[in-house]
Amino acid sequence: MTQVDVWEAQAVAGEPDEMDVALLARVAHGDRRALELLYERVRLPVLHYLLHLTSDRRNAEELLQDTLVAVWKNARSFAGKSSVRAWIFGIARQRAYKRLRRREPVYVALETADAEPSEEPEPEAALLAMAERAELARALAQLNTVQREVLLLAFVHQLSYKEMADVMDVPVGTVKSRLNSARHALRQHLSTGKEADDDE
Amino acid sequence: MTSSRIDGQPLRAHVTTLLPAYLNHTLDAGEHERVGAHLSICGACQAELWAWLAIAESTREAFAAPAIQPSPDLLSQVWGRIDQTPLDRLAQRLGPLHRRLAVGGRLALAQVWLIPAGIWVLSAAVLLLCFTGMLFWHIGTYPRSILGAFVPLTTAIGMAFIYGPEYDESLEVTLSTPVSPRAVLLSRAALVFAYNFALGLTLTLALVMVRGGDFSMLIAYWAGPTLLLAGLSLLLSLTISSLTGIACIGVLWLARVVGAAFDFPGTVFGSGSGPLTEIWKTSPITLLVALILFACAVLYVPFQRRLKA
Repeated sequence: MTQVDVWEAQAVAGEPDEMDVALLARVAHGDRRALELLYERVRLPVLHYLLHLTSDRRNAEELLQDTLVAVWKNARSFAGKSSVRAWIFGIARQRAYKRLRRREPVYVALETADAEPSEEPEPEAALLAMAERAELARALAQLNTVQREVLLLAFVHQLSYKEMADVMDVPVGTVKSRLNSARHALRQHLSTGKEADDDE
Repeated sequence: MTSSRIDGQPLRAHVTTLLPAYLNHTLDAGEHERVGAHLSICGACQAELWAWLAIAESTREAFAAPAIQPSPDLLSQVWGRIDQTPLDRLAQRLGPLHRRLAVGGRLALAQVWLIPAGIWVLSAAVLLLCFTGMLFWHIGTYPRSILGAFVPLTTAIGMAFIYGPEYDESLEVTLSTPVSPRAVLLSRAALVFAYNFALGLTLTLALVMVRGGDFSMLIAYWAGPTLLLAGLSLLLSLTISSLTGIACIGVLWLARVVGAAFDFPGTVFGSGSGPLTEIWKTSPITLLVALILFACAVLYVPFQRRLKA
């Protein structure tokens, strides 16, 4: 195995951000092989995220193409303020919303829209912890787009608060607020579901 | 002995907003240590952690990545797009001409029912009255003045009501479709303009047949002003309001009528050359200004305020 092969093998499975930054720097200099390697690293998570946003495979694949073309064209403008992964997710999200001509929906309740959530624990936490998986899955399905997206980015793609803020183009406080709002909504859906079950 | 402060924060301070990041190991080392230390002494935050753990696991199950791989040729398509010349991109964007025309036709047909019906009725009624007037009026150049005054007026009034939340109740529904707002506006403007233009042509043709005269000269009498006032009315209705568009057109129209009825030499109402006279001519300048006004309207429309205050 040559040194290039080793490096490329590391590039596909290596440490996330350092390798991504190195690849993107090569892309910025017109290195096609670097874009191919970056594609290998991001194609599945980005396609998964786009499928979540569009619910349509053909659209998601076209948006993945758009995203890669934009990465190729704008690699030089990457300033390193966010991770490469968050930057690419952000491009994908922007393209998806542009294509769907959807204004970003704001479903967060007014009282929690801008305010940082409180650090105080809530007594109903046990309801969520004790809930059956099937009940939680039903409650998750009832969340709005914004709430589902923030949970997806946090727990499926495991982005940090800063990365999520960069992807959604909002302050970190808003990310926390959206997570809190999603949690509140889940608890509410669980309570409503339980009341409905009791009535039956 | 455990310090009462970790990472600059009191150990007893609750950490609920950091728990999702703690679960994901995306906190920095100092914060991670602080959260861990706090959890060891705070039952309420532990309960919160269990709640977040349940949410995290359910989310992973619910949104687990499907076993879908991108198409094998996706990357080659990306290279194809990257290597395209600007001309290739333009051609691809426009697509085959016949397909664009078919889509444009279907879009225009769908918009016919969304344009306020009053526009069609008003234009037809006013121009029919004009035609009747022209048949019975035998004074000098009056028939062509009627043409020059009323075709632009009815077109401009129609243009003021084709788009916007004030008079189009289905606009929000229209905008929720993937069709560009610019395409919607263009198709509506084209429909109203074409309708009024066709009425104007019919009227002119009828006038030539009944009273004689030069067909192309008579068209030149109203075509330029029609395009110019339509563009102005459309732009004002989008940027300010339909009523502002109508008011502005009304002022220009009255000034023209006053100018035609009573000549005031040396004023804007005089019959010589002046801005008011220039508006009512078909000249390269009026056509250019009209095109600029339409272009501004088309560029502006996606930024138009959608909902009533």
